[in-house]
Amino acid sequence: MIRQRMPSASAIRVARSRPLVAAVAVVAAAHAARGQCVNPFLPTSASTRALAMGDANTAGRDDDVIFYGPAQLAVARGTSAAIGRYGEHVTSATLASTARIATGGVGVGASLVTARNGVGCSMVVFTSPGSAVSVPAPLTFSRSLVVVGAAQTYKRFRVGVAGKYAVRQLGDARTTRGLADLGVARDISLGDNLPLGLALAVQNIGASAADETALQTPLRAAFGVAGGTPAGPLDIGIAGQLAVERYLDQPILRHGRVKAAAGLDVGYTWLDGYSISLRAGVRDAPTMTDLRQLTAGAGLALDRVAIDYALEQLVGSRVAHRVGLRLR
Amino acid sequence: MRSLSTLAIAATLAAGCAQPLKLSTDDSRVVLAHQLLDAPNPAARGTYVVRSLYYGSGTDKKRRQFRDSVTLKTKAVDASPFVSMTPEQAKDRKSYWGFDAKQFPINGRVWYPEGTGPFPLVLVVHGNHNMKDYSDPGYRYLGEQLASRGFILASVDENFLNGALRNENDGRAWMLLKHLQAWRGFNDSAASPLRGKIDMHEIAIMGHSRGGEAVGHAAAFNRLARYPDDAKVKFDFNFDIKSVVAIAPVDAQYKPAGQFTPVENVNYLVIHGSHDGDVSAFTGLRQYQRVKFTDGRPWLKSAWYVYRANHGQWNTVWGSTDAGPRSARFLDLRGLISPEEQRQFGSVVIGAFLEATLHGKRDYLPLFRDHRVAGGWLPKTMYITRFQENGYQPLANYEEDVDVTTGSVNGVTLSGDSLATWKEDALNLRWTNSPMNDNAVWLGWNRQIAGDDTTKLGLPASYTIALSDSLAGAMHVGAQASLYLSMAPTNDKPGPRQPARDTTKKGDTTKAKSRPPAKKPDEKKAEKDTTTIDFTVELEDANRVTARLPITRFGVPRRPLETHVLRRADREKTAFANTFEFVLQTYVMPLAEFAKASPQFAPDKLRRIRLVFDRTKAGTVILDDVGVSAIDPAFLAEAKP
Repeated sequence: MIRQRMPSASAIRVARSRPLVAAVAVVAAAHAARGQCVNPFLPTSASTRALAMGDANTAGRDDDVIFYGPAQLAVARGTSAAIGRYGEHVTSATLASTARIATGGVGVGASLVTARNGVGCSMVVFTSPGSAVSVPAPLTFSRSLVVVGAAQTYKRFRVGVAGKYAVRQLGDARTTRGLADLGVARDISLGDNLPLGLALAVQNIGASAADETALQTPLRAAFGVAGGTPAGPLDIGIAGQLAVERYLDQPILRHGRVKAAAGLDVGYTWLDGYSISLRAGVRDAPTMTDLRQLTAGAGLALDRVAIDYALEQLVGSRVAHRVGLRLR
Repeated sequence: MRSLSTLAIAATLAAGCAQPLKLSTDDSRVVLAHQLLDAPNPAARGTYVVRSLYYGSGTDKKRRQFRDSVTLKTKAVDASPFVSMTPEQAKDRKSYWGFDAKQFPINGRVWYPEGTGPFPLVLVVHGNHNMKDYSDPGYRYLGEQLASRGFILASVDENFLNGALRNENDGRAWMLLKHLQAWRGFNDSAASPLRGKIDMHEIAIMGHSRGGEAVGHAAAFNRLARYPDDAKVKFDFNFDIKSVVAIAPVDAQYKPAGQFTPVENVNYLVIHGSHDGDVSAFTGLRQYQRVKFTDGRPWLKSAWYVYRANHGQWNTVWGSTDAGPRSARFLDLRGLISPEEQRQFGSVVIGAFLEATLHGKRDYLPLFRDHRVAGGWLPKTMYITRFQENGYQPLANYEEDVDVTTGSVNGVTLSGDSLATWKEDALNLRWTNSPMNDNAVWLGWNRQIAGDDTTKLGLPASYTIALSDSLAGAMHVGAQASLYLSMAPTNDKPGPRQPARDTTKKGDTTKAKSRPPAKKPDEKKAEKDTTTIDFTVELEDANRVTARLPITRFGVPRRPLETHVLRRADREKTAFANTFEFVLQTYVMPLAEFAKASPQFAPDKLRRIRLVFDRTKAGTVILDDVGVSAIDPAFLAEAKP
């Protein structure tokens, strides 16, 4: 997430064409000679396992699915904690936990991404369409999110709802917003041996167009699929996701940005509860961040404890690392 | 040093918390060293040429055999009163199978002998399994064997009842009886190639797993006029079901009118593997206990616990992974006997049972009294067997009251001498919180006198079952009668016995002060003991003449057989109360053998049965079903090689 160059032309074009968000659009500028400056668009991934698979987690079944869509809370279980490190200036941490209640489930999650600029960084603020000024960037800024959700199985469908509270702290400036997610999911089977989970989530209901940049919470609809099948002694897991995000203040269905992601998990279980996995994924890079398409990772499950590792490609041939611990 | 630690950690991780293979020491080479029965091996192919055919709907969407290859067409039946499904299940199943519970097909595959007959009819029905992995072909080995020996065997298709259904066991049973109705038609129909070849008076029904429970319900439904759970549904079966075989059955998934299914007046055989990875407790013993003989006709019941056998290897489709294709990840399969050995056992015991009960070949009866007579036929593993026949009269089965001094019939008194443990209690299955629905008495002893001198032994402890004169007269115990008891040693060893008080030195406290008091035996702290248990059975007649023989003459008292089904010790501990199942071995002891050992002893004047714990210094046994029987001498016959 460290930028040692001026913002890209495309990023500026995006910001300039958005009259409603002009006052808050920000891009860091660099003063390489004085230190490293951080792109204020921070990474948003909340699941280590999913991140290794392209961050395609709408139909996931781990506790951290609460950040991706609430319907799967009806089948998710466990508690997890993860930390991510994007160079020496950006750190993320995530906590999530779910509990099953009869044929439903409840969950809670919190994520925090903090960043620290080098001395003398500045950022560009668009005050009105086509008009921008450069201002000193704050030394620290952060983005945090708290989610509480619940889901219930009704007939074969799982329906879920989540309430979120998003906060962005940019120096002394604080932006907050209450948001909601809705989701529906169900399981199907392809042939005899490929059970699939399908999930649809509409996220960040209540977000304004400005929140896309201020809080990185664009109105978003995502369809996810996840499944697994045995292949000889191995277990193959697949995940895919297609999301549409609101672009500016245009209708989401006509002018939304389409983001696709997919991932593969190859696991080997040598004893019930004990397994090792290798993962890889590809995705459309999240808007305006320094993240790039490729991800990979590994996992080791030791009964009720699982350790996951994910690596994501960043601009400039750099990588970020994330480690998660899950308890079941 | 660091690399060693790394290696150790890596090895621990790789092993997880998998437990090493733990099995009891195998004594089968000794116990099964002799073949004393000289009848033909019931597992061997017979002399009949074997034919096969299919019967069924002729319209089956999924099963080609039951669509294109049926020789005998059958009508679908409405099983909806017996099978409940959620709307989703009903929809899914109709979509897959092409029919719902209102149109269940009567499908079966048949192996039959070429000849005029009539031949006894045996139906076998599978249990629950993946409904798309059809289970009915898995008994072909039995079909071919039995058909070659003059039985007709039909393997019944109930795959459409498999999968995630619950509370459907009455449906499985009812379907079996509907198959018998179809067979009545096959025997009567002029167009049937089996016309007149079926002996509808000699019928056996056999079931595996859930099918093993269903055969019990079918035997009960067969004699009922109405369905117990809905009297609007009439029954009209009344087939001559002579024999019932349950292979690794479950029990009480269905309870007619909320009760455990009672079964009366059939021959009953149940077999179960110690290493069953699906039904991991011998639940069939509960149905075994409930089988009663009340009409005075010659019936028998027999239960076999097969060490190192599993759930699925009696069906060639199911195989060794009892909980699905990937269950080797959690089931410990290393201890299993081979599928061939397990099926050989099934062929021997089921074959002998059907030969004895449907063909009337009495040569095979001794096998059920004492399995040691067939050492040449049985695969070399350890067996624990229960047995009873219609002549059995109970003296003490420990069910009737909470008075430990009274037996099960008036005139029986129970007493103990020098016992460290004497209590009546409920037996439990291996599963946590699973009652066996059977009570027994625990008897523990230790001849060692507490103190520094470990060689000092007291008089042997004993347990006596006494018969009053009037009871002995009423029971007509004759010289040809046999004494029954069922017994299992436990691993518990009571602590040393308290020294007897010296009453001549009552006032002298000097000794008492100089010596610390002997430790009181503490049952909770009883040590695990592995020495072989043996004791003397002493019979006493009305003239106080005694005859004594060791229990080991009539069977093998074994410590509980170590059983670990799961690979992970922690999961094993959670799932099971014990690492063994208490299965009591039945000992049938002809009184004539006691008379032979002590010619003055008069068996017809039997008054006391005393277990004298004189052959093993300390131990604990569970005792149940003590009784006498004027047993058919055919059970006692042993042709010497």
